[in-house]
Amino acid sequence: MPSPLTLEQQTDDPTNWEVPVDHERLRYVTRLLGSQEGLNTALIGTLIFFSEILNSSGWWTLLAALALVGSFRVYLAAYQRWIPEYYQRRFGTVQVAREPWSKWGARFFLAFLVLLFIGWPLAPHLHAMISDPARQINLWPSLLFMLLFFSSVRRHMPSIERQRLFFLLGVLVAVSSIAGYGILHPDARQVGLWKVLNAGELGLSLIAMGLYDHIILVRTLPRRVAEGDDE
Amino acid sequence: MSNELSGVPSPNRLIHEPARLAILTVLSSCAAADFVFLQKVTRLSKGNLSVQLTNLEQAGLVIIRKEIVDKKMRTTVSLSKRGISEIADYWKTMDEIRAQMVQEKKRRAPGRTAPRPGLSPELAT
Repeated sequence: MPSPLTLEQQTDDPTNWEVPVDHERLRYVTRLLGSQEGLNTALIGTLIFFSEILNSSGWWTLLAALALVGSFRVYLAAYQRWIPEYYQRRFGTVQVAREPWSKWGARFFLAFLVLLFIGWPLAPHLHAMISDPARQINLWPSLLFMLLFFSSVRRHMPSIERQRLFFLLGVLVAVSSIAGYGILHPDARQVGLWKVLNAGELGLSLIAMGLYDHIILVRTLPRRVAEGDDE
Repeated sequence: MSNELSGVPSPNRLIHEPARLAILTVLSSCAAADFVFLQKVTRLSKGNLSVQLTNLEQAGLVIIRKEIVDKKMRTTVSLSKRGISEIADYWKTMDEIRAQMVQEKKRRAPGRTAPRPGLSPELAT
């Protein structure tokens, strides 16, 4: 539980044996900045969004193709220069410790492979079950976020990670609702808005996750810090 | 590392101070961090952070590197080998204290009266 006092206010009390620092928050923010995932994930999400909606036919196809070319050029410049420079100026620099694959990473990757190899041959049967022989409904994002959600659940989670898990659950509910709406209302599959949301839901959810991580950094690391020398 | 009077291990006082513990916790989650990030994440003033880093460097727990990047001084801090083992020991000690406190709580659970200081256990119950 975060201490109500700032570190500047806390004293070296020899009788205080409680851990005086919200160390989980500090660790989480350090790892988050070190990975530089926030804005990069949002940018990758934008690219995926434009490339996904190219596949769904509509008046927006040409517009999406132009946006994809434009955003790819922006992405390259942003990935190589703008984002690292911005992060350094706004938050400072963190060099990530070289770590072998985490248990979570290995577990998620394995589950993803299983999902891919089992899901691919099962997809036609699944679409037949939901009366979607044309395979219009995009089920992959729902399955992917379900996998991400359940592989992230742990018994003891710091509050900052628990909040992210709830956000992930929100994203899962949103993508499942888009797919579910198409299943329950077959007429909706002809509506342009549903087509764009259905095709681009993976990209949109990556944008949301990336922006969420970025907002965590912005909220946790203040733009201005105490300048005064209180020693 | 054990308190002889009560048998409870005592944490390293140099690390247990909130500001220094925050700095060491951040550094234990990465290979290195610069002064700007440390200041923002701990919300310490420049002067205070500077003093705490100097204390930690003098104790041999961190390594401070200063380099000039784009005509500006950049200070990068990382944990030393000693710092890595000291912070690991600190968390181990804290876990031991926590475990002992849980045991103490169970011992004093309702139905069992803790002996009062100065009274023999027989008289207290």
